[in-house]
Amino acid sequence: MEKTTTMDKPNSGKQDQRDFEKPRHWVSLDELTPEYWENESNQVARGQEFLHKPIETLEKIEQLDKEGVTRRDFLTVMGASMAMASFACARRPVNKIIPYVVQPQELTPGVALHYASTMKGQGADAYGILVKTREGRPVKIEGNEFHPLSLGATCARGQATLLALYDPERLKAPMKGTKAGSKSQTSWSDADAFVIQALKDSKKVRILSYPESGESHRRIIREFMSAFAEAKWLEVDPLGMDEVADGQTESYGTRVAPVYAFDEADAVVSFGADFLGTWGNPVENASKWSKKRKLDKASDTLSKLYVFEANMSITGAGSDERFPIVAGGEVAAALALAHELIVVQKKGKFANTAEVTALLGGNVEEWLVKAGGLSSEKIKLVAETLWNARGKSVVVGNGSAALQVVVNLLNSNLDNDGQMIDGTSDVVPFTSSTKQLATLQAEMAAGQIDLLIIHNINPLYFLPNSDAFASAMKNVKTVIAIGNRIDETANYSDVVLAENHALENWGDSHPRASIHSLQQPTISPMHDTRSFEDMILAWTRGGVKGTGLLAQIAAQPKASFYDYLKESWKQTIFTAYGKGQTFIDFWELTLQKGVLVAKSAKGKERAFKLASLSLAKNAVAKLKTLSISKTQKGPATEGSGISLAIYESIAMGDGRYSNNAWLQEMPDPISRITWDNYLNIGPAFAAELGIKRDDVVMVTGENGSIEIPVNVQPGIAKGVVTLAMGYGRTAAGKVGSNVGANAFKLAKFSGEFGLELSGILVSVAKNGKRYELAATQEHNVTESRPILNDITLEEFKKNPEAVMETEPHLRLKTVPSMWTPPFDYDKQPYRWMMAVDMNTCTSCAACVIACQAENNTPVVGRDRVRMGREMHWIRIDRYYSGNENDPQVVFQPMMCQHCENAPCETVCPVLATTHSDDGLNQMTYSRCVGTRYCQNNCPYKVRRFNFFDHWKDYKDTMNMVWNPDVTVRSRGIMEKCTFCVQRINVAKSTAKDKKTMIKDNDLRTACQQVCPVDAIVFGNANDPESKISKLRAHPRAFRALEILNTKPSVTYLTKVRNVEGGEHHEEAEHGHHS
Amino acid sequence: MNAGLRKFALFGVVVVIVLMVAAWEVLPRTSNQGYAPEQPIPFSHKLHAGTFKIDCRYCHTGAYKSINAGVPSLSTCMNCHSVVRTDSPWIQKIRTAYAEGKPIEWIRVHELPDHAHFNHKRHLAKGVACETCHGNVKEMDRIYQAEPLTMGWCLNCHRGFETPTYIRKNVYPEHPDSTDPVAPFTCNTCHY
Repeated sequence: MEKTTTMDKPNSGKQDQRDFEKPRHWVSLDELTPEYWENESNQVARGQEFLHKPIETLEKIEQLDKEGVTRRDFLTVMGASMAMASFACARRPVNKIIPYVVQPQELTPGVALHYASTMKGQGADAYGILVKTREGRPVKIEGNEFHPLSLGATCARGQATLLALYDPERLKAPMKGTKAGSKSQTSWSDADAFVIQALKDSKKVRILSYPESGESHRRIIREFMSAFAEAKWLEVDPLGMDEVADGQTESYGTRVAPVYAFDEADAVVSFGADFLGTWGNPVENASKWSKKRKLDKASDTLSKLYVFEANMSITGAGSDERFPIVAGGEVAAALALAHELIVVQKKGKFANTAEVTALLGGNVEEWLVKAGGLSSEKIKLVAETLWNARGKSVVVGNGSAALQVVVNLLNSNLDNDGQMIDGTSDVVPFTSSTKQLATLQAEMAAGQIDLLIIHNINPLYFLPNSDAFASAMKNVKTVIAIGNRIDETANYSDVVLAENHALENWGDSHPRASIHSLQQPTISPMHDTRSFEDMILAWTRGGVKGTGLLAQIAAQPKASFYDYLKESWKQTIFTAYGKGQTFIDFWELTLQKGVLVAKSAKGKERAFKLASLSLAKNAVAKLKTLSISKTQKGPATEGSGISLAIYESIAMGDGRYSNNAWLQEMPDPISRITWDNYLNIGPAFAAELGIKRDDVVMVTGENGSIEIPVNVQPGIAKGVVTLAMGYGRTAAGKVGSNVGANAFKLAKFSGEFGLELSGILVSVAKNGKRYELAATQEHNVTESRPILNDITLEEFKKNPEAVMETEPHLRLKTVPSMWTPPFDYDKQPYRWMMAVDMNTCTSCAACVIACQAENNTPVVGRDRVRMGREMHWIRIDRYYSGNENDPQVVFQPMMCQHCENAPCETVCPVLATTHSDDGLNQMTYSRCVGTRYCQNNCPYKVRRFNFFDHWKDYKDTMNMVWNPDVTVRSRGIMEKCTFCVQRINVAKSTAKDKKTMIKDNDLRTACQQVCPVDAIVFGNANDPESKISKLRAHPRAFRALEILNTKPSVTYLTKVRNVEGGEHHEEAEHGHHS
Repeated sequence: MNAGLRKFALFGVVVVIVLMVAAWEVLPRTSNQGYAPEQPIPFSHKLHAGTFKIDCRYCHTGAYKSINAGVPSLSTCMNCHSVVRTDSPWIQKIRTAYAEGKPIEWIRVHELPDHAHFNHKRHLAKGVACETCHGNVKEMDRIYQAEPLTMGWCLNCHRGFETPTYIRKNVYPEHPDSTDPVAPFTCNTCHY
């Protein structure tokens, strides 16, 4: 083990007294105990790959494990399977070529086509995408670089939408008889007849859906609703920025979700808002935030990010300083900060405003305690930083309207409103609110609603008291569900109308005043499904009165929503922006680009309504100081209990992505756990409660209790537990049903506050069971070799190359070599290399899913992840350092390093892995015999072995998801990152056609292309003009495990923390409250 | 060597021979050279490409712009056969299929394994003639695989061992006698 460096003093005095040296960076809490290091089997387990036997099926393993397998049995099994394999392909299969009857003119088989579209299904703020299709089927989704919310990137969920398109469990036709329990497929004509009759008979109609910003969509629904005596459209989004919008209404009088200029902010303070991962538009936020996080030389500035949060989010992990607080204590922390800034330091325009000082004149000490034991010095420091960056800082918060009011006060006081926060110019009215469900429930229960149309939303899953809502629904005469499966809510409907996937639809979106974005189908509907808008057109044709354009288009017998959309754009957007163009030119150009971005004026400063502050005052008065009862078994009582925060995970959202295996198997960026949710408890608190990792606990709240395994998560305050939503679906499908437990069951819902997810009092009790969570962080670790280091800004400014002087990165001056390189790499036209900036990487995991989509990496399932057999080619390692109750986090994306002296190549007995002249470590699948020597010898542990024919699990339509440019690997084959060699070959071919060389922008790997923060750079290191050759010589550059003389092609740029002199390292445990 | 051991060794040799013969019979052949399946319509390349001298690329339009040469869509057939030989039963079959929108299912002759990626466009760009890999199609009444299409066969050309002279001239116009490789031969040229 390496010694800790002299520059960083991560260990507090207490830990130094132990008679072993704690690693500077650690991946799991176990590593902090001497016992772990003394236990040899743990050391072996870290290598993982030879722990388990390669046997035919998992069931067999389980069975044999019970019986105790002998080597002889093992050989029989292997022999049998080999024999079967040979017989199966004894003769070449007869394959057919089925050409088009009429080949579309724009299509050449083998050449990809790209279509600009818009990612729907993410809520109102849909971003632009570029869909790559081959032979008429989408095979990859990229971001649309013209779209301001995407800028060429997507999130992990956006990538995974592709798999959702091919989900074999999507509804293939409309269904009837769902409520009656006799569901069966029906025809559209029957379904239409039923729905039209119901519509004609109904007076009071409610439409329930996720918010939709598309102007044409909004218009057609309005025109449709005019057919009824009383119709309302309720837009609801459990992930929406409801409270932010409510807070804006209170403070400034307009209900909007403002636009934040993270790209100009020198300081950002977040109160529980995971803006890099899940809050607002994470892709846009992260992209903007990263602009101020690039650090090239000592004179550069680095923005500062402070995060106060209960759960450990990727925003907190990426922050410079993070303060673990009590769930629901955000408002107290924000008030304490406002007090420090306005009352104590007397800074800002409200320093002399009586109402403000009166509100902030409360008991600050008590607020600090209520927030979870914050130190007043830290608050002072944050206030000073914010004041120094006034007009150039952003404060954001997630949670109650009361918190939002304080956040708004801070922003107005710091002159950020108008400067950094645009709530007036580039915004559209915020239309959704979960509160509406309470009214709807009451109306339904009273039998006042004749017809309820539920479009793709699932309140019976996300409402805490769903039984009441379900029984209210029974009082509605007709319930029509529209969606792609019979989910929890659709089970209570009379008819389920099968809806298209977003990639099969026409549509538009209007998330900002300046953005008009078009959605176009990239495949014709795969099943007998329709879009919601086309259903409305069909109903209107069937005699349901509609007005305006709807009536006009419905009167044309063959017109569809496409015609409606076009006409609607002609009337509004073309009139506004199409001057000097014909409509057809305007339409085709916009469709080609996917988005129309108008000019937008800068936001104006708004007057802060002081009256809104009473909201905050009331909230903080109600906030209880927690007294934790360790023995409490029943439901939490007033003021006593454990504070729960329900958070949105990067993968699952509110559960609408549950049936997506890519997202289920994506390791959570922080816990690195797959396929489950779990209760996060801080190490100190877990020790107090006597709970260990993988213990199963009962969590009891007001509405009931759930059973859930525990993950001991560093960085969570005492008295706090956190739990991800989106799991525990019961009707998601084969992949998503019964995975984890439904956190919403513990949430609170009321008409006054809507859906409340944080600061809920619960009790936690062990029930004696154990459950092995499928975590990946302890897999594939690098033989306990320290692999990275991080430095502070001060150290960087003193010596920009400081990182090279810290221990894991020490370089040998002269390296004796027994290697003769097979090629003179520097003289080749190309030398492919990559650089990864750990300072901007937020661990959003978009690259993980993009790589999976591009490279046909299979999903293996929970059990095999437990065995360490996950197949992702790129993983994002998460390392902690410092205090285990308040650690710092570094993320290191790890993929094949394409070492010049590759240890894997020397041990391959069949030359299946070799070097190419352009510096790639090539993996030739057809040569591999599966010895796994290479995997064993790889110091970075990036090689993945196919223990099974995973492709066989991709049944039915799922087969269509494969990228035709990449071989689908079979059993017994080793695989790993190829630097997207298929893309290199396409780029080479294109360059040869043009008789040029490949330049930086001609070629991007899948992970690079999707990265919202441009943390990954790939290119030709033999081109002196390329970005990569400059980054190779960057002051922050280091190569992982360079001391092994593997000469990796991947360069990492070290993480630099903007903290004062490294004092944070030495700080004693905080985050406790009395 | 004692008798028992000798017997055992003999037995071993017999077993190995039996296994080898079995493997020869049972294992997939690496090359499909000579494969000439009957097609759903007895389309004659000899007639079209030979007698009528229709350019290959008239039908195989992808050859110079895609990795796949492509098999023509029915509409390409109908360009001529809406007026030519409309009385033939086979042409009638095509016309019916075209009218019904049902494609013809041809039997694939030239097929590389899925882990080998071949790019038509790049070979055409270097002036490799269709016949070099596909044989003298102009003489084939029924299409068959003329060349082995094995990896060794590919590499013999790429590495310059058995490269046809005309290709060598295209690659090294100034040194037509060069024995240097004419194309890349690192694994990931084809395997990825």
